[in-house]
Amino acid sequence: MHTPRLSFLLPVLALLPLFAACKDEAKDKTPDFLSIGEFSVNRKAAYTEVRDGAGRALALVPRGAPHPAGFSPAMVVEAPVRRVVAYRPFETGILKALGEEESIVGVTYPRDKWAVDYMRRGFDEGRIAFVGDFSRVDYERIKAQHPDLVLTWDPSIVPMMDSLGIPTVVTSTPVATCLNTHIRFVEFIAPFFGKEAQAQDYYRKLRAALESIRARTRGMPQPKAMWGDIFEKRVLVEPGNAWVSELIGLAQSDYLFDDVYGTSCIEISTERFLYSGKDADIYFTYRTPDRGATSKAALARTNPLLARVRPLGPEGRTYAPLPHYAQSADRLDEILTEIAAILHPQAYPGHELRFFVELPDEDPAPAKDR
Amino acid sequence: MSLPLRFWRTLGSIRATVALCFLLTLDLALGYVSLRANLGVFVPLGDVGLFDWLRTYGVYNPAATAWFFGLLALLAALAANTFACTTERVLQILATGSWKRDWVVRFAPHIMHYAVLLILTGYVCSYLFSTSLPGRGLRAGESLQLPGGGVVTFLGFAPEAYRGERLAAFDGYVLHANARLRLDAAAESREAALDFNRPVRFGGYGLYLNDFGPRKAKGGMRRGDFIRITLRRDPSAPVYLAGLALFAVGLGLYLLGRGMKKANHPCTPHA
Amino acid sequence: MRASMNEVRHIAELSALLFGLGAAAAFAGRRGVAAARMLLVLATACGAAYLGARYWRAWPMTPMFLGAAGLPPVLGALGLAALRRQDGAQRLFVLRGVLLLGFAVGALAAVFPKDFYLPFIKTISPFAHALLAFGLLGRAALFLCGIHAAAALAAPGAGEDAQRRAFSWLARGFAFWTLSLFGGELWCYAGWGTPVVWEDASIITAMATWFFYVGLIHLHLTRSWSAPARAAMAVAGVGLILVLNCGPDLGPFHPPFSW
Repeated sequence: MHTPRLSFLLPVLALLPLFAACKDEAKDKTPDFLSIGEFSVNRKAAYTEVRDGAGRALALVPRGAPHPAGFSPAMVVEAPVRRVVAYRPFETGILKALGEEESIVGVTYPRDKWAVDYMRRGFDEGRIAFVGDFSRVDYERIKAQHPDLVLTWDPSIVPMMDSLGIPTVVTSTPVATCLNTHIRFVEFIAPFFGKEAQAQDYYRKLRAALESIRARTRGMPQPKAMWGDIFEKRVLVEPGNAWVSELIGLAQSDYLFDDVYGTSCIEISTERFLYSGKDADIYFTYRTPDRGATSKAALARTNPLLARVRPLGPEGRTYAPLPHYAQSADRLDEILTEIAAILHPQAYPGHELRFFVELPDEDPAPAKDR
Repeated sequence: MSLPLRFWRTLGSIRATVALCFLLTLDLALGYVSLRANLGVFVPLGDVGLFDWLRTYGVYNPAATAWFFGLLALLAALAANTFACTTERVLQILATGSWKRDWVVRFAPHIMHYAVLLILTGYVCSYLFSTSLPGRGLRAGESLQLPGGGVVTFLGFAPEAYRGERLAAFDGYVLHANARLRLDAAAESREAALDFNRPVRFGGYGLYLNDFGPRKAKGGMRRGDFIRITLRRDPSAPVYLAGLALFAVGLGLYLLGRGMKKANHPCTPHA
Repeated sequence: MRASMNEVRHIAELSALLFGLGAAAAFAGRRGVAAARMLLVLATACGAAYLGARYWRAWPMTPMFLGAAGLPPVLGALGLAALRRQDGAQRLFVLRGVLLLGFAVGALAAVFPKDFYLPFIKTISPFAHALLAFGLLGRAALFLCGIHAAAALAAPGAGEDAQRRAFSWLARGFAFWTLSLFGGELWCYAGWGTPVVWEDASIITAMATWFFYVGLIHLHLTRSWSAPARAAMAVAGVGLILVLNCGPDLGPFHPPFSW
């Protein structure tokens, strides 16, 4: 039998490890190029090119600098940005983490939906405006706020923003953001405000939280967790590639939709949800208490099928996010730790829940009328 | 044997072909694992072009992209090997005049080989020379100016919705958006329907539908009709599409030739 | 009529069971072999019913992740066609091979089902359907190539005929696989305008398998390796397809015949 001679390929194969060796050298200095999931920051001589979640390239230029060729006015952002309209509370939290909460001038939640002080204060001071619910955004109101930038998860507003000449960054991605992208998203936002150093501090804080979680949960028995909900005709869950799923895995726990891959809130069959639900110890619902998640019985009433998942019975635990959970990206380290504490209460004795609430079996009986 | 001839023969060695193919299998299997874990690194490849991608995503994520560098090297080697090997054989066949009998069987593999070269050339040129403008959004009534000068206006939808109970979650949702576009240029003005998998060609660009809304034909939240499209100008697409067609022809001829040979073979039951 | 996904899955589980029973019967003497053929027909019919049910639910979209679950009926159908042209020990070998592989893939797909994703509307394309259909035909034909190659290795005396048949299935399988890849390629072009859609990593494993069989075809045509070595590579190809092309279409563990 003749065997093929591979010697002529050896130089090619020998080169491959060299590429792997480049990484550590690049880490010591500020890299000119950063890819953060589907977002990227590419520092060029005259401007910085950023690529958003929809794959759109925008140019970041210093205030007053000439705009680079090839970018329409709505695709050029003058940095540092001073006025921002932000769709997601996650972005407002990131801005707070960067010390840029004063830059927020518009949001898509009214004042009474905000549970964090700095946002309520912004409304009270007249700096922040409610620009309309995301499904009925008032573009004139946005324009009146004179934003330098709009951060949105909704790509459908981009055409209107373009026509108004307001630069827009799409912060959602076709595939759910992983844990690494979630904690590094701040590095994508920071160049808009010239706050790279603050972004690094924030990132280091989150890395430390993750290291601590890994250390404290090492060797613990693995609870089985699920994250999702059944709505009228649709079943939505967090896929295995989402940041919460990866966090659950990092915290020595078994995420029951680990094999599911795709976008955040991905739709799957009811059968699969119920099948995995039979084994679950811990269930995280998407619903907040003000949207019906006040008790296990109340959740089961929203959809009787939900009653079949084990955590809604006496043997399991069910948690609902509190309204300020989604608004507290600036305290992401605490949120990460709290999720780990829910999964492993024995590793976090005395931990008091701040972002989630454990649902009781039944709603408390209403006080009798006198 | 002269040195250039020896080099030529070594370049076209069939052993090298086999070794390269098996190495490509290994490299792509590793690539699958890397791609699943680093999707965000590879997705922009279609939009930013090969050189820019290699300079940025490629170099800054070496652990994730090493297999891709390996793939490029192996494909380049395979292309050189295929060209040398098949050209050598074709010249031999033409020189000996043996092509006059069984020409179908004799030439079919070489048609496939040249088709592979065409496909690879088309792919490389596509990633080097194509222009992509992703994420361009339009609301009903709005227009978009193409870099070449044409104007695209989004008029609205003529949607076709899913009806039935087989997939309850889809009931009432739009399956075919049929976005109506008006295309105006100096030389022409026409209307066209854009849908998923049904791009519109205009002004040298292909218009591809990425997303549209509202997704529900009736009811639900309506935020105004919008489409999100990608504009792509890819002069190399005809090259790799021609390669695919040529490969299919070569494969068909090869199977046909084998069938004819088998039918005439004295040992086969059909003889 | 609306059957739940669990009910539909039971048809596939039944198909896998019939493949398994057939494989057991094929090793149980002459009467067993006759029963095994019947069981193969039944298993194939059940598998085809499952495939049809998945298509019926998803139509006009393409059902998702059928690379493993959809393979047994296609393998059964091509296997039955192959058996018609054979006799003697090789025929028995092929019958056993088809039943065993049908059982292996069917059982894996039944125990690790991945049928919980909803289809997406971009799969309403003849090219997406071609990608799936030719992919299944390609996998099945290349499995038959592996079975015949194993027959050639197992019976060196009758090896030449088995080797010839193995190559015949290799050529068909390669043609189907190529058409499947081209279907995917044309779908990429029509849907995204790019030669490769990197969002779908399975295109990478499909190309890996294609290159493996390009190498194998060159080995056969040039006979640069010995016949047993080539046959061994064809058998290895079955493992490669199982890992690279069926593996990603398997889901998490789910006990069969459960609700």
